Amino acid sequence: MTLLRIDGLSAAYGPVPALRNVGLSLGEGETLGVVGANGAGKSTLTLAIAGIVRPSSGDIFFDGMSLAGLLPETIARLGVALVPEGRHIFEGLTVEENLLIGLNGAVGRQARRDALERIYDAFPILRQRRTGFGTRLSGGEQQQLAIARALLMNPRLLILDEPSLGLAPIMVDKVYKILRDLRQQGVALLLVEQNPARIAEVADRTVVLANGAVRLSGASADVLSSDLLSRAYLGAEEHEVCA
Amino acid sequence: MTFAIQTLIDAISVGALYAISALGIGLLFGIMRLVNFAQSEFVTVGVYTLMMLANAWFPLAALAAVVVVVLLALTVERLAFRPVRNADPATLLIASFAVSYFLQNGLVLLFGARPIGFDVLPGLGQAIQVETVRIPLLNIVTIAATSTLLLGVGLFLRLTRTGIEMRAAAVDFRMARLMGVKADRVIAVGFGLAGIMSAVVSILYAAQTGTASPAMGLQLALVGFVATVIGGMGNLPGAVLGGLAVGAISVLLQAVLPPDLRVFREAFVYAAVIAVLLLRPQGLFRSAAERERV
Amino acid sequence: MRAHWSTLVILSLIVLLVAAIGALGNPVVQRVVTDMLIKLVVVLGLSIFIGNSGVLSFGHASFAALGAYGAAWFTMPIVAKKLFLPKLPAFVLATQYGLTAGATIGIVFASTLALIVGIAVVRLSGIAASIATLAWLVIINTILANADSLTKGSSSLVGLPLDVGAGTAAICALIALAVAFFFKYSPIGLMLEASREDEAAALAAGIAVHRLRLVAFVLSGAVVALGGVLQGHFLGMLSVGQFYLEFTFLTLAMLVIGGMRSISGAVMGTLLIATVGELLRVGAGGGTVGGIAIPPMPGMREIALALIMLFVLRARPSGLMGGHELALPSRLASPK
Repeated sequence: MTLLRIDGLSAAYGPVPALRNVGLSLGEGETLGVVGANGAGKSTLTLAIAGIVRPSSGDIFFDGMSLAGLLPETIARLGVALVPEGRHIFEGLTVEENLLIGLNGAVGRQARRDALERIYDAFPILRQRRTGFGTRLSGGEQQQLAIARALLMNPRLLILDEPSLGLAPIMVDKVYKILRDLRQQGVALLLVEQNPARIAEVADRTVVLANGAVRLSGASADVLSSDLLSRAYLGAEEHEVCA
Repeated sequence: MTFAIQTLIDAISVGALYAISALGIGLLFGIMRLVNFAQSEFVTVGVYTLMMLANAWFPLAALAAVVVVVLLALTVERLAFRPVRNADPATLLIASFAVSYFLQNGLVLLFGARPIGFDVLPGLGQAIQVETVRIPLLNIVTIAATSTLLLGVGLFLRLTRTGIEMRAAAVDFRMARLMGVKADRVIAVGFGLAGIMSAVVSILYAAQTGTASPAMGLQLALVGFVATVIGGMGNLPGAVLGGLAVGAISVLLQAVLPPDLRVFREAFVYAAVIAVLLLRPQGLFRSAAERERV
Repeated sequence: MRAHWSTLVILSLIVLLVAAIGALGNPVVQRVVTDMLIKLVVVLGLSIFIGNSGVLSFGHASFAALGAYGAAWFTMPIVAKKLFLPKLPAFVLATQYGLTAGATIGIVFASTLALIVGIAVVRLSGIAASIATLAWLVIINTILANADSLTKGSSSLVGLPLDVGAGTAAICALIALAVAFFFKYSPIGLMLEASREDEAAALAAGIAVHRLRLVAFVLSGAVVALGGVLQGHFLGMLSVGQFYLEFTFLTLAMLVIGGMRSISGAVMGTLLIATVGELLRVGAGGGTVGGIAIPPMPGMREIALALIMLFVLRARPSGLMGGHELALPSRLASPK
């Protein structure tokens, strides 16, 4: 069952093209890795799915429904949660208030309380810091908060843009452990990383972007071991498929 | 000592009015990057409503002012700002200028350009005497009304779900939308709140000045922008403190400047604003470290 | 991005056409055209800073005021000065220069102050810079309104020689156009353009953004000051309120409605808003239409103008020109 399908997606910032004819698909419960060099269009892709960047052509289908023209908040409420690069913890809001913003679906005080408790059980550090400001957390804790906040939206698809950026290795371990658990629970993941080193731990398949276009795609192990990978990072022009 | 206490009370009551103006402007700026010049007319229209109902029972007139101004704010949002919401901040700014120009000249057309005198609660002109200190009743009412309003808005922003969403949207509108916060709703609530606060300001301002004139709201709006920026953009408590600070500085300058320099008071206040911007570009009430993290 | 010479030629022809309409028209048309060309000088001046740096300035009306008063102190007849501004310094009271010399003094005076405040403004970014310019405007307005010995304070200063007509205004508009054009396509202008898109990247690329912005700020202040000088010597009188928020609003609106990212936008926005404003003045001033007397309606013109502005912004949020320049198709024009 295909959850996300992207067809011929192109987008540009003014005259500068950012995505060129990108196509990919992601099944229910599947994890797709997206890697590529800085400026390859990875973040633009995530923002286009979330409805922030308007594509110039092409279409995005979520659960069979076109997302064209939908507002970001509508897409979020359909079950697409984006944890953007840089985490974007709300300044001046406590950890708990940051989490509450994610609770759109849960109706009723008790349901909200229960959802929060489940998240606190999964992320004990957030329970400890619940009354402190979210921006006062360490980088790794902020990343946990950003993921937890997105999970409270009850997403069917969770998009993570560079979740390991700027984190100490031990924290990266922790984040990847969380991602593996999510995968176990059947949440579909779109995981964007500039550094492909660890992507095979979670991603079933991986797509390599370069200059805004898909250059390489296939099973993660094949793509990441391919000697074409470094060529794709350097901006090779042709699209290769690892069988 | 007596003089000091009286000045302090003056400073608080002027600052409180500025603080509310700044909060309304800061809220809309944070959410939609709108520098809302039209807020000056929200206040002015409130004053004219009170002027027209000068002979009516005061609570009724006050309620009418709140209703009129809130409806005005919501209408302006819907008709003027929503169509250009995603445009450049410069376009939004010119739109707000145009709305302000429209409303101000609408008042000229309806009521003429000359100030019109009237009385709001004449009883407030009296003063109470505590030892040697004379405190005008109006100052007490101003401080009480503004603190009640700030407390109310503060509780709304802190305790309700909508309020928390407003605060999130004010610091990072895009992220809030990515989490499902509805842009239309947040912006409409923002304009509604700005309307309520402007209406309260208009009641107190009318009581202070006793006149209605088409351009009277401008001063408050200017102070509102400045206070928002020196308070730290998107930082709502900062905007309130910024308003208090600007009000306090004006009153203190009025008190300590030699008479022939007093007319230049505004120049000193705004020079201080530039100095604050240069010394603390992240805002007076936000630590640099906090800014870096986000 | 290379300069399109055809842009400069087309815009100059437009200015000349407008001036010709003024020269051939009756005195009323002539005054309208002169006023329009003076506004064009101001808006082109604004575009030198705002268009190239992307930072909105609310403070440029102050430079128009400073230029206008600075020039008036020297161009006013000695008799008039002794009558209206007896407390001017003795050497100023005793001199009287022509318009060119007076304008030069006014522009240098305004530019010097632009340099001083500019050093502060260019260190700030985005909205903080805009608010600093707004604060500056209030400061200068307060000082001028209360410096009775220099400006006659809150009352009007009259007695300026009426030296500016459509011809002078047209020449100055052409000068302003050329300055804006050559600055935009100069190395400084092009680097500023780059910094507008991404300040951090420009800084990283070693572009001294602050210094470039300062150059643009002072140059733009100088051109706006020229506009102020022209206005003073066109109307023959000055008041401090003439160069405050309404002036700021109208000139900024002309720039933004035309499209602040191009020089053609500045020109078209000015011509459109000024023309509409004048037509509305006729409509709102009362008179008879088809034999029916219409009373003058103060405020009506401004209301209509504001509505038109809102509609244009709604239809074209990035301005009439949307950042494009008027130019011949590139095959015909100089190689791109």
